[in-house]
Amino acid sequence: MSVIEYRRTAIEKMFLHGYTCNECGVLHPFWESYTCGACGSSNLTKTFLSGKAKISHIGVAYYPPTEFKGEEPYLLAEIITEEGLRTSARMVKMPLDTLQVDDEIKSTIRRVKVGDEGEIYYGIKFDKA
Amino acid sequence: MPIKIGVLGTGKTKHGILYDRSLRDLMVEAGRKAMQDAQIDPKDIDLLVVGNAASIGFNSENNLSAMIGDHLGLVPKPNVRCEAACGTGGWAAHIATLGILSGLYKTALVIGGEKMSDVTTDVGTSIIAQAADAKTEYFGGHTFPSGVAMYATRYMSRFGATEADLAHVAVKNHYYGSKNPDAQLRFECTIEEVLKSPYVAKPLHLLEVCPMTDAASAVVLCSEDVMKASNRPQIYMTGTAVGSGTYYNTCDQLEDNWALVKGPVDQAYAMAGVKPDQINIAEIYNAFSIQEILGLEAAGFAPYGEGWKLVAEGQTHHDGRIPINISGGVLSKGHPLGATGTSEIVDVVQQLNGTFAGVKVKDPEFGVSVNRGGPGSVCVCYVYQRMS
Repeated sequence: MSVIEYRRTAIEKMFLHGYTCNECGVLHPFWESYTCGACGSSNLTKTFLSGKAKISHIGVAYYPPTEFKGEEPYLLAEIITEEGLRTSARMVKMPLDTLQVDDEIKSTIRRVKVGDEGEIYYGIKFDKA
Repeated sequence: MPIKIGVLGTGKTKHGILYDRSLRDLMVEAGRKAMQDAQIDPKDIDLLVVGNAASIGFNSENNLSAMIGDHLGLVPKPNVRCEAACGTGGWAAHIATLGILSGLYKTALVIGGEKMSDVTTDVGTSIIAQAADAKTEYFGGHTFPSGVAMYATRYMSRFGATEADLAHVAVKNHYYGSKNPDAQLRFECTIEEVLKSPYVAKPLHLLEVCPMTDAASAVVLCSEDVMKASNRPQIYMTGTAVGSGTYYNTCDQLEDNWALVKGPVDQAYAMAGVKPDQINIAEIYNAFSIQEILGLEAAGFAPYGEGWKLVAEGQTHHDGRIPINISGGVLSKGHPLGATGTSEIVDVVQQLNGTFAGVKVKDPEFGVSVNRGGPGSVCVCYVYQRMS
């Protein structure tokens, strides 16, 4: 990801949000969204989320891609947000055995990675509430 | 009503880390073998379809179908490249079937190929991860293994399967892979060895995760009249369908994965007029052990949530009720992204015509292949029949 590209999408990455379908009310996860997967409507509204969630399933990445080498093993989780949205989350650094199913967690802004020229990319991770 | 697409010839390279072979080396070898097996010359090929998932990333090469067409002497015949993540090879063949069924072409050469060992594992992981949303999911460190691990965990908790139950898939695949001279990981392993191998993404261990692979495989497809006029074994694709699912690993839930296969495989069965209990050989995409279980359930060989029992009971062995991945599957044979779908076709067809080089299934008549890809974004299915 280039710095120019990051500048274009940084706001999206800093604020936890989803897209609510104005036709059927289904809430979709927090990336750019153009069409409702439930009813096909293109009438969607950006909806900010509280950042509160619960752990549904826990995963650990042991063999990361290049940008995340040195961080392994790191925790990923399937979560259910307070709004009922099921999605996945990158957890902040913590001992692997400290996270349990049904734990309450909250979103936070953290460093996600460092680029080739030392530039720092921030984004959303989750921590224990 | 069944379609009748003849499989006139097949060809494949060895699967492995082949440092001395280039992408074009592999694809030319597979293409020539398929044409030789089909007993036709390049001048008799009407269309070339090349399946390749990521040569831009792995090899810094693009416009691949033109390159391979040139090297195989197929100019000025039309050529096109197809990309659909791990479903690339299956989709490439589907494009060829469309061309033949339309009547526009009589014959088509389909080559799937991938050369992955020119980059290190972490770079390869990055390239593969970009087949899901690179701007959101991969940005945060999500990878395919971690996404699959999520629904593996969900499957285990919902249906009572254990890590040992999933390990049965790896043991079976590595056994058959050890007998397949073209496979990449040619060793046998035990349940204990699978469970002792390091986690790639918990609960998935190294031995139940596919390797990165260099390989190519190819088929010559043709119209019914060309097939009948040949002296080749009369192997036909009689049903095919393609389905799509989510582009996002985080939306790729257990149910989505089941449904991703269930839709197209049922369509393909219906088109062929075949029931799952008639199938004698199946190749089911299994980059991870859990995917073979979900795939065989969706393909109608076991109820949803009970596929792991079928594997543990040995019912998916070559002499079992439904032989699955007797090639060793992606887990052992290797996973050359763009070649995996074509490799499935080659292996099923070679079982049907009795030329498969590994363990043979006894006198199969009907086959099925399931080639899924991406987070859960694509699934291409074929039903095959050996006719007299």
